[in-house]
Amino acid sequence: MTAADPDRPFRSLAGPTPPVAPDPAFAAALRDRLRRELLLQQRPPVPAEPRRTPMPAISPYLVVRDARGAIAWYAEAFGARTVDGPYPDGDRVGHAELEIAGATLYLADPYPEYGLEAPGTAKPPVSLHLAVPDVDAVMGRAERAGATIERPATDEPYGRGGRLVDPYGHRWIVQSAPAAAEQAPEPGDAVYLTLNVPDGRRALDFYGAVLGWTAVPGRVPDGWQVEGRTPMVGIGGGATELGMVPMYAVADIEAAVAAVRAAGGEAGDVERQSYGLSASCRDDQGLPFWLGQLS
Amino acid sequence: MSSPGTRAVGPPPDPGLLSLYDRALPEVYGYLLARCRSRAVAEDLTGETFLAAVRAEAAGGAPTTVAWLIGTARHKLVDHWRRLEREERGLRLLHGTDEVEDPWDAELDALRSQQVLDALAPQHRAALTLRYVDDLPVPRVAALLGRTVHATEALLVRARTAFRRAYESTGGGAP
Repeated sequence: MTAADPDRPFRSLAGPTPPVAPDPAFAAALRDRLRRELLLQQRPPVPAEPRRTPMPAISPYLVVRDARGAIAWYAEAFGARTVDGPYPDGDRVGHAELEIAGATLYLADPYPEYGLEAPGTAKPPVSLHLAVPDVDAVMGRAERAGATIERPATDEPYGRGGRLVDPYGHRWIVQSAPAAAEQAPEPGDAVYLTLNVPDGRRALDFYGAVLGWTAVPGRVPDGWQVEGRTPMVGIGGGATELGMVPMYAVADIEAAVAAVRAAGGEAGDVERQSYGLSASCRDDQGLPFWLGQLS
Repeated sequence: MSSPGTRAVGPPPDPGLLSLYDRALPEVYGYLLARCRSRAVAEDLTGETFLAAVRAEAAGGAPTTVAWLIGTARHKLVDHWRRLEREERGLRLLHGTDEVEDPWDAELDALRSQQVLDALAPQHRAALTLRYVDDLPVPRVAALLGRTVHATEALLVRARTAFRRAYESTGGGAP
């Protein structure tokens, strides 16, 4: 019989417990304490990557629908690095800091409750001016990634530039400095250094930390155009042969290729590049270099 | 206060836990109050439970749920009973080490049962509450109390005996 079951009488003790609202003063005090604790816990945040530039006096703070998507998009199109955050806030991103070409960009998801809305269908009244060495590469990349080209790149007295609207409704003016008319390289000058490494992103991080280099994405996957260096520097990821390959300026590349071969070196085919003509060579001891006839 | 999008330096506080707070607070507080029967203790343990959630989230744990909070509150309650037991141990001898149980098949009155539970020694109250009010299997009770299953079963025998003795000595008497 059930009398032998010692648990039996106690079974009636089980049952759901009704929720009870505590004293409102206690509830408010505890809520306040939790808010402070949460703030304490979030500081210091570990930056995703070290910040390379001090905080500028003015930084654009974008409201974007789908901030996570936008962070990925700006990385793909403009080579943006996430230097802080993103800080999740439920389903939204409450704050994130990107570095694009050495400049700082903040962004967050819309917060309609604070009056912070993403761009609508109207034309954005503020444009973001992005200075890059290679306007065509950046605009091409942005267009492939879904940007709307408002004005294709053209050469102007102040440099080559174009306009685009990104998928989040923000307009960018992509601009390069005027072609370096100051001093054209002399034939024989080293004009360009290419760092061939297995991981271009990693090399950029290393030289960014050591030398302060910043870069924008190049034309090839994991290729990076280092900004503002003399001679110009590029980083090529995915290389199996480690090394730095210089490009030497020549006045006549066909003649120079012939001279390489005559001197016992090797020269590949002359290739057309956006900056002129190039040929991949090795000297007679096997050391690689490029020849460049700059236009 | 800072609001998202208007502040350039620190991040906005993650309102994940705070948005859960309004819904979870009565659940956690209600759970604790029904078992410890003291507003002050329930408030203390509620605070400890939510602060544990902050630390767990900061440590990269899974997002907090009401179920997680109740589970944590249960641990806090056990800790509370354990403290109470230590305090009372010096004052009082635990009676009845006999582990032989007479058959008992009473129909318990809820209100009277609660009063009896409140008056039991913390160890007995903890064991009976976890086993019967929370309806946890003995191995779970053992884990929460930090005892072996065998020791927990023995504790439950003593607790039921103590409960029965107290119950029958109050109110309407033995059936």
